[in-house]
Amino acid sequence: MAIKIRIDKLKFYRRKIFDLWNTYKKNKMGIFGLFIVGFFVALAIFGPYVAPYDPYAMGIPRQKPSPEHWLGTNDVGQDILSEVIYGTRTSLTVGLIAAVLTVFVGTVIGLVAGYFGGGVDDLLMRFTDMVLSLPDLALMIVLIAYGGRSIWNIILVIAIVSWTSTARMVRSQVLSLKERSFVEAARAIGAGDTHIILRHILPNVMSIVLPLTIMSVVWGILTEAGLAFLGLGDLTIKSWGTILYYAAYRGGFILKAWWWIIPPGLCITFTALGFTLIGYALDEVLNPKLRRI
Amino acid sequence: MLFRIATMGLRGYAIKRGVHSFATFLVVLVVNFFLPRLMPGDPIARFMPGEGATQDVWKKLYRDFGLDQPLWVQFVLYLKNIFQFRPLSGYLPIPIPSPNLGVSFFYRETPVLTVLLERLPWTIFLFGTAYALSIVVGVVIGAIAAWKRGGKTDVSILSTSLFLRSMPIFWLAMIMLLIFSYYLDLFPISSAYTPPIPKTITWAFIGDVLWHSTLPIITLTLYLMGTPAFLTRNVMIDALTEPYILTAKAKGLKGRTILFKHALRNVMLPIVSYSAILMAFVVGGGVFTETVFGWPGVGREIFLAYLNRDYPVIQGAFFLIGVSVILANFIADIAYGFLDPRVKY
Repeated sequence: MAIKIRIDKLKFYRRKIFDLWNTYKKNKMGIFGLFIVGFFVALAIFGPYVAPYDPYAMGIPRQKPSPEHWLGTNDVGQDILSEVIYGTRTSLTVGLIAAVLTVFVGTVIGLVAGYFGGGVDDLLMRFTDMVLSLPDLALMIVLIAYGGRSIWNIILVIAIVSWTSTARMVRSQVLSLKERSFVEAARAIGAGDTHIILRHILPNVMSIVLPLTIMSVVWGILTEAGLAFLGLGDLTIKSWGTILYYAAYRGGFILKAWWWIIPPGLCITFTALGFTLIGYALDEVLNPKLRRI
Repeated sequence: MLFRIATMGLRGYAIKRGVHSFATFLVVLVVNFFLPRLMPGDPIARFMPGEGATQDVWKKLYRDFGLDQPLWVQFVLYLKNIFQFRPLSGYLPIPIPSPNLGVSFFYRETPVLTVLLERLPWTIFLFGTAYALSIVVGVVIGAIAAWKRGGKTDVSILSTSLFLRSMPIFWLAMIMLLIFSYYLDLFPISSAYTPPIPKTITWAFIGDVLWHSTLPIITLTLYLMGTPAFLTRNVMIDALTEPYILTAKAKGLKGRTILFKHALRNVMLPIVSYSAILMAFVVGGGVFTETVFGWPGVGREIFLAYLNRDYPVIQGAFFLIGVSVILANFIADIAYGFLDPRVKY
């Protein structure tokens, strides 16, 4: 009997996912976004097999694009195309992990603040406001200047600065959900707070949390690139931002090296674009009442 | 009860926001104090000027910041340093806050505040212009997109602003620099002016600055205008479905008139709200643009300070930007409370 209930539950969720996917498929921009992101994810996974050279191997510096080096070489002779391919991994990893962290912290805080209300809510919101008022870029620079330049530091710093908007949005969603009848019904049969939050409120909050996660990935990728460009990134790892850092400060301009400057930036832009499109599409699919462009 | 009465009305709202801003200011104050002291590494090293600084500077630093004293003494001295005032020289004896933020490592013996204040006007000029331009252009483009909704113009405007918003701004700046300065040689490569600064401001100097500022301003404007365009388009699409628009069309008014004289009013509130939020980024938001174009503003100074391990400047900039964000938000809140009749106070 218990097994049958579990199977029914699985079938229900499978149906739901199918329906969502069918709706999503109709969204052309969403599919386009999925393609772009899929391409970069594949590049990240299979990069080392596809890249023509080891990007850490030095060679003849400052070469223009040629049949051997499709995008030329940088100032220490590393093949730029290989650099860009390897960089996909870093940018995607940092973006994804930072996004997950950001959304996790933000959701927890938003849930607690929204559900319990009163003093807890007030305190948490004051705290959120204060973090919000600290200038994000300056704070990140200060934290990295003092904390060091490792990949994990960067992920942490991005998360520390970015969780506030998620917290606010989750909180307002929870506030509106709290008054709904199913919450009252659950309380009437004696469900505890934890049960209500986890089993009732959280699933309904997912419809904004998922698009928010995607948007946080975009933010994570762009921020990581920006920090790397300022020299705050992990200079031992290839990332699109660090490639641009070297392009700017090791003579990329004087050489008019469009092959050094344009490709990494194009990758950042398209990855961000892809995720943004997915995010918009997901938002439309999950919240059909709210969006109508 | 008395509190309720005292905080009714717009004045009460202003007071409440003022208290809130002050509390936030205190947080910035405390965070700024503890940040260098909590990080790995020797905090004293963060205050010490390099070799070559005179004994006087060392002595002054020790005295001002109490670097050999216990933590609470340091905190009191820190507060004393922050809340320093000096009269606006000569003209009026109004005390102007001029916090003692330490001495720069890199610019030997120059106080941090001086370093930052010298750069501030350049940043405000750059960002202020781009900010105003981006809102105007963004709103116009958004309105046109909303009017021709679904058509080719709309789609191209939408995709362009989406694309622009997905670009990292420093990359956009690099591309502009590459094309217009290096390839086409139309604009200078860096800096805000051709040195030296003349003793008096001549027209030639102003023209020179404008020439130097064209690319950075265009870059920032392009980058920023996506959001107001998007915002305007969404608001306008809703507004254009109202019955009075149909009436206006029936009266035979031209599209342009309808758009800009009637429908645009709906957009005012969200745009003001957005502008207020953006204003907070004026001081610190230009880091990337200023760095790429070599524009001598506060943003670039932060970057240089990081490169040169000039910790006092990094911290001072953090503090300055934090304070200006709080100020901007406070002004925005008041303006918003004034403009939006729905805000309850």
